[in-house]
Amino acid sequence: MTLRPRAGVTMAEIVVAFAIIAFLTLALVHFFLRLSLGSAKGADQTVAFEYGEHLLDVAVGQSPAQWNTDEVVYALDSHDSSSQTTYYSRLSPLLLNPGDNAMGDLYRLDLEVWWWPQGSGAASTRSGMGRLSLRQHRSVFVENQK
Amino acid sequence: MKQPRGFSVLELVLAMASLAMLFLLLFTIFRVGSASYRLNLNRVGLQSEARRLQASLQKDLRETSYRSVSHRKRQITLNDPSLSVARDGLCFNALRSQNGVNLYEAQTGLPLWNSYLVYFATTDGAAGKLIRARVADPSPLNSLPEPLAAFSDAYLTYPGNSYVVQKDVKLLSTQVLSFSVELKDADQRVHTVVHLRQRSGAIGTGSRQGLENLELLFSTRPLNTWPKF
Repeated sequence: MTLRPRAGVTMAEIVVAFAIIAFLTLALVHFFLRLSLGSAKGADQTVAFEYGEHLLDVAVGQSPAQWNTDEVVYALDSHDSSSQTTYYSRLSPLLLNPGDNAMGDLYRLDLEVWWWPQGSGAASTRSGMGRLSLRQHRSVFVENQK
Repeated sequence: MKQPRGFSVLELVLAMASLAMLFLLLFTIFRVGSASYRLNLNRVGLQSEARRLQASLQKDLRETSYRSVSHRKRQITLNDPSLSVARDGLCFNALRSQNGVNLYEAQTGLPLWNSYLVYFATTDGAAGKLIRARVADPSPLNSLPEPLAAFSDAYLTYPGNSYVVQKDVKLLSTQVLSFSVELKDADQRVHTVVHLRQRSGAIGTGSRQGLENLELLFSTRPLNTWPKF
């Protein structure tokens, strides 16, 4: 007696096939969600850059005594309405010509802006988000007032 | 014994259920993918629009004198959601063209201001428009920058602004939630906050429409300012 190959598929095979398809679907949905988180990060970077430029512009217009070197916290909308991004910044002035200040002082203003989106639309974990900070610099020559 | 041909009802039901599940999964992928594409497209568009209007405003502001800058504060209240937002107006001296010897004072080289530029957000609903309009300078041609004495809400209308000259009106954005301006006399800077908002599809929230936001904060120093502080 010869065994004839069985036609069709068993229920177990169908279940396994669906499990594989469901896994692939989940992976694809996750990919699209990561894609939108990536574009949200781009929007955050745009806002952070302009915010950093603004802080440096303000600092350039001030005297060294007025420079605020504390951590500053500011919230701005940069993507969907269900989340708002909190921006943190710190200004670090560095005197480039110590002792050589007949005409004035040359400073380099280093500014670091970092951020974290908050709210229901934000990422729950930092994993895979990459660097969420920017460093900006400006050189400013402060003339002696005497 | 003859083998039965065709499918039983049970087999048909199982096959249809399997196909339905397969289509559901495929549809989910398609829906999330297209929503993600639309969201990213809107997000990039909003950023481009914000950068474009920022570039225009900063270029015009840098060419003027801080002495001529004046602004009007305006607020509107939105219903859904209940929110009070700024729709300010900004006005400053400008030149109709940078080319031409007669546009600069012979001895000092200072610009002979011959018009004003007005930037404002309209107050018509949640999605306001950001307008750049050139209006006539009622004072004689002079190099002394002065704020527009008659600057009022009448200058902040669109369309139908009778003060506009040479049909020089530009629509910079149609998605302005708020436009806020502050003058910082201490360091002669103009601080601006532009908040754009656009409806866009949200991923994973069913048919509910998400709102995409972008808020830019920037400051500009008018470079034709004299004396500088």
